Amino acid sequence: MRSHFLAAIAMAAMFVAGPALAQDAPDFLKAPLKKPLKEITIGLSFDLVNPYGTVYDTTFKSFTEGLGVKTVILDSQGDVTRQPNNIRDLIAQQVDAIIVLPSNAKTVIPAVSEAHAAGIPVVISNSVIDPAGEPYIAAFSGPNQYITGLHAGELLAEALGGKGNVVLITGNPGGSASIEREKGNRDALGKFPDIKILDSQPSDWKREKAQAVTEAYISRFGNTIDGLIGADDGVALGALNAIDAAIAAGKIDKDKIKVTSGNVFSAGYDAIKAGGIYYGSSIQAPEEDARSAIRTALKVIEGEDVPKKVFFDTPKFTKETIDQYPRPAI
Amino acid sequence: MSAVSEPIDGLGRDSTNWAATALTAIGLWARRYPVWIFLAAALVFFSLKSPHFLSVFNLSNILLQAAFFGFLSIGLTLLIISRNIDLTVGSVAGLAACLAVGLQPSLGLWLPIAIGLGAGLAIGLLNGFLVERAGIDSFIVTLAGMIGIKGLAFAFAGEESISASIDLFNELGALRIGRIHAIALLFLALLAIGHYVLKHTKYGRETYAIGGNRTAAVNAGVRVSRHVIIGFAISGLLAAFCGIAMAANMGAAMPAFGLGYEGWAIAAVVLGGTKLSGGSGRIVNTLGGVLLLASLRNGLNMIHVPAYYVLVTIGGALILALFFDTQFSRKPRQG
Repeated sequence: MRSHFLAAIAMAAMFVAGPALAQDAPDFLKAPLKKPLKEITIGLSFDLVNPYGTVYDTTFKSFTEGLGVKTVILDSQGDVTRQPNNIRDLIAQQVDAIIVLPSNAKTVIPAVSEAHAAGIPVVISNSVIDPAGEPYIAAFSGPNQYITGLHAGELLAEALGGKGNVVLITGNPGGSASIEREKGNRDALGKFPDIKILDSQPSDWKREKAQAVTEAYISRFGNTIDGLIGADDGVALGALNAIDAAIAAGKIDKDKIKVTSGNVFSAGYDAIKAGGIYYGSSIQAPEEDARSAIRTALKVIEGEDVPKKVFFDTPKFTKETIDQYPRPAI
Repeated sequence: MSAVSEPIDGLGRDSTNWAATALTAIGLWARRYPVWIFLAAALVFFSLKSPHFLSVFNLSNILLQAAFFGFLSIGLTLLIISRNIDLTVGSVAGLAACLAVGLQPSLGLWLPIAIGLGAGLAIGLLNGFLVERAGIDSFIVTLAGMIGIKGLAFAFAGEESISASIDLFNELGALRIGRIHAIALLFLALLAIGHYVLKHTKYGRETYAIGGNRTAAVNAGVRVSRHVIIGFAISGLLAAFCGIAMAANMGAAMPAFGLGYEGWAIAAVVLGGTKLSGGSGRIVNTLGGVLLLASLRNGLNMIHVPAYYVLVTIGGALILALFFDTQFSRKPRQG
């Protein structure tokens, strides 16, 4: 009787364990797993201060829950001095990996290096850490700024039919995202011999400054401008303000200039959907941002080789294809 | 056991009575300074809830987190006992951090630190002069200062962070002695000095006298204005110290450093039993308040309480602690 009972328990256990084991290796990880997902805890240090963060947070929770991975989520609420403390609190809990969305690229470095020293891998997500902090991180997961720059260039070339005069408005001089995006712009446009880049000026990612730069462009080049690329949505919208005003003042022709940008927020999404001057851009979804960071962290924990930079997909779109992509939350 | 006669100590009291006396003493002390009871309760609670809470790494971590707003609470204890308040401390920390880091490329390591400390001292003196010589209430003076100095820091540094360009600065910020951060040890050292000043110097005795009864202090020949101005200067200097320590620890500075820290520091002082009405308080108990707040923030993180509820919980704990404080401290007077 007793042995039958044990056998029954063993069978029941196998029955229960069988499907569980199959679940244990999601398609992005190599089976067999070195560490079962149920025994893994991932720490997250970020700022829950804007809608992007809210969507990131929701996805982070649902995606890890689906995998059976435990999490510790610490929100520094926009306080740059709080984030290093939160990272230290995660180190103290000996989580298996820490995902950090730096609220500041520099102030997180000492805390990240402490995690590194404690043997806890750090995955930087969303925006990059200062180069001085790179030796201490396992990987970066986020959007590929070069690709979003390339998309903006390709879309503009498409809008202009492969010929015309183009002006660029970049982000901040020396900033890595700005440099990568401009490089992408130039590489895409460089494929078209009939496209000429007239000038490139920084906006410091500010809408008002982008507007002023565009006004100056229009005074200098007037009707010869055919296209403009803004480093991001805010920059493009600032440029659009200036262009609309110039059209209203009769300085330039209506519907001549086309504008594209590195990525969109909700305002730009609506403008592209409405059609007109703003032709296209790339979508950067917080959901994909969160999933990519978790996948990367799990690969690191399982001892898989991970490239130092992991990029998630940021598809380009125009008015024609916009309905395939949900409207950004911000 | 019954064969053994009652042990008698040298004073002729039996040991049960002696133990009872000790317990009563502890009880009285705990009634007067309940912050230590709250701290002990918090430590026990969190160590039962999280296996990582009592690790050496985490305790040293708590001490470091406590040190930053702890610097501010030392100066604030002095000021609050003399019945003043300094709301500029968080803003001063941000400004001093930006000065100490932002001037490094042109002036090297030590001069910018001196300028940062000097700015804190100067703002403290200015606060003191406005309170004492212009006769404006310290709450109003320093509330205005808090807003204005923040603006000054943004004007100097912009919104971006500034990197420390001198490695020694970062190394000092990360320095540990044994397992404890040097910054935390410095905080404890300054706290000890503050304790000594309050308890054993003329300045300390006058602080209580001014807070207790200003007119009486004036009549007794205390140079009250000079005393209070010095108090604000000490507070400003310590605030600058806090900001520079933060910048060294993070290898960078931003005007946003110290944002809201005045609230934490004042809460720590009040939790330590110092009355906002002045005249009483002990700096050692401010340490209890500082450690309690830092332990709550860290411990609630450890047991995975979401950030917004951490603030709600700490706010609630503050009210609760002060409620017990008033209950306990009332009893001896009534009984």
